[in-house]
Amino acid sequence: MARNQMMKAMAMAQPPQPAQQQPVSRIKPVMDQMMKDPKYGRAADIMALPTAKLVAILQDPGATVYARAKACQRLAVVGDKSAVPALAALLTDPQLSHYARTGLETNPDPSASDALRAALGKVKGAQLVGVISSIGKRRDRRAIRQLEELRHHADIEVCRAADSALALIRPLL
Amino acid sequence: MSQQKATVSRRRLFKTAAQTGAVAMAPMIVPASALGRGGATPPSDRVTLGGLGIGNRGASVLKQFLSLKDVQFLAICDVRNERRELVKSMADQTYGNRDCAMYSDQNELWARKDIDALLIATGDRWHTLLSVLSARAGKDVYCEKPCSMTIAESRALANAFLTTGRIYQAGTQRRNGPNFIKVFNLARSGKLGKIRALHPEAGPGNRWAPLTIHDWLPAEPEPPKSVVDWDRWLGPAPWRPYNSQYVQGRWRGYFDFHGGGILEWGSHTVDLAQWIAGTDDTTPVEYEPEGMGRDTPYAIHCRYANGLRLEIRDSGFLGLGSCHIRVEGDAGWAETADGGKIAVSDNLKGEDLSGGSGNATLEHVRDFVNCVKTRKQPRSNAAAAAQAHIACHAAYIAFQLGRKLTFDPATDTFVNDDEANRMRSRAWREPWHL
Repeated sequence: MARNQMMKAMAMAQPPQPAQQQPVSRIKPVMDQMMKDPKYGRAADIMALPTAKLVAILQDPGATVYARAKACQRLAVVGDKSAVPALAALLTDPQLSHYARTGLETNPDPSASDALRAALGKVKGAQLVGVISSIGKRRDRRAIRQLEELRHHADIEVCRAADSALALIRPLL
Repeated sequence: MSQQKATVSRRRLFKTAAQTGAVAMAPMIVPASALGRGGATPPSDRVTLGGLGIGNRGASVLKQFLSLKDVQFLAICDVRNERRELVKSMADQTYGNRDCAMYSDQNELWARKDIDALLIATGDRWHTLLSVLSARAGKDVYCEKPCSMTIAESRALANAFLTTGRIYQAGTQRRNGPNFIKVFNLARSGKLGKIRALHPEAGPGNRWAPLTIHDWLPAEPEPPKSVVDWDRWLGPAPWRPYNSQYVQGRWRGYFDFHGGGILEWGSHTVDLAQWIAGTDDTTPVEYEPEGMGRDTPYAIHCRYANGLRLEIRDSGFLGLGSCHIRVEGDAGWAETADGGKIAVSDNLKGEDLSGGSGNATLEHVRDFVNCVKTRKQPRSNAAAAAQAHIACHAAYIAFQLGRKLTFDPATDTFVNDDEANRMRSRAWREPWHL
């Protein structure tokens, strides 16, 4: 934001109304500026694909991070059991681990919980915190024993994440 | 500068001063105003405030806080160096000192035991996370709207403030706007008869597009972290490559950062409808979208369990300004908006509708500060804000899916619609969690 814009806002006696906060031209993204995957196109193209084709994008070594990220986000809403292995394979990917969790966290198939639990032994640091968080959100009671162990992890952030996950899985009576 | 460093620095200063005899020799001069004489508020009665992410809107709210004699703004935390400096300048000019501390890491702000409350005015993606973690750190919170990105975040927000006992005020200042209060009183007085419907304006589609997009802007070189910490700017939102447009305020309209046009103004106007109708403890149970597309006229027809209708519209009936709300009863109607004017049905023309203008934000901030002191619930408390936000999120989910949805307010779940239920939450990017 330009300095003079902010100084102007600070000087205003009355707060701006919502319509004045962002002029029309500033809140409508210009579509022709947007990124595209050379093979799969724009986000809207990718997110209109059926589950099988979204899974195929995740498995395509030539797909960009962008295309895979969008496929994961769409699979969060439409993914089923068939999407779990491809999503699970991305849990260790430094750039896509969160997107993979996005796809798995809301997947109704129990194999999504299995995949997240299996990843506990494969990821470290922030990625491990993320996987623990997703397990907590899924209220996966089968993870309780592993989470109890993680409460004593050397990384305090991992301990805190395990505490939080257990609090979700074992709510107060 | 961290508190720890500041403490060490002060100790060193006193040690040095003592060694040179300066402490014993220098007269102790304390301004009378600092002790509460001369009409000033004594320190023990002041609410101490910090800021998290202050931009355009945040600066407007902060200006109101700075005008209150019983508030002392002590520190700003922001991922952008430029903003830290500007907010510090704003506070220091108000108080005539150089005391406002600057941080880029919120943990340093939370560690300040001398700060009672926080003003949170970051981008929407951070609102729930920072509010909840601030409450757990023992801080009361005034947070700009929208207060959450999802139904799940809304519930987490309400629960956090219920369990910690901290005070929360959503930045939905119209609940303290004189004209909106007059309409509230008209409705509650029974002069409109039995309330049949409320018509909140969510904003025109060509200004606040109801649908967000999933696109990314092209990558640009990331600036040094000291200028913009991109990772912290993103916070719990999904990673994407840096582009300066986002940090310049053009992040609205992107799904990852924004809850869509219905939430943008609905967080104000649906919230007003809930307040006026006395439904702060629930939400509608049905949501039926009408009209689709980014720029086309639209509406969401909602119904509460008791039959009351909530008609979310893309405009007001009368063009009274932004953020219209019309209340329709079986004996009359009343409509108002940010212009301050109140329009009523012919049978209510004799009502006193004057005094509708005023500084709603100042009143809202005053309400918050009073409640920080009294520990009573402010008008836009977390539980009420959460319900209004859940209604907006549910309406947006129905709009995205293009079908009528049934919702159970007792469990925050859609009835027999797995796809809709999967849209109630989003995974936060590591390492962020509650």
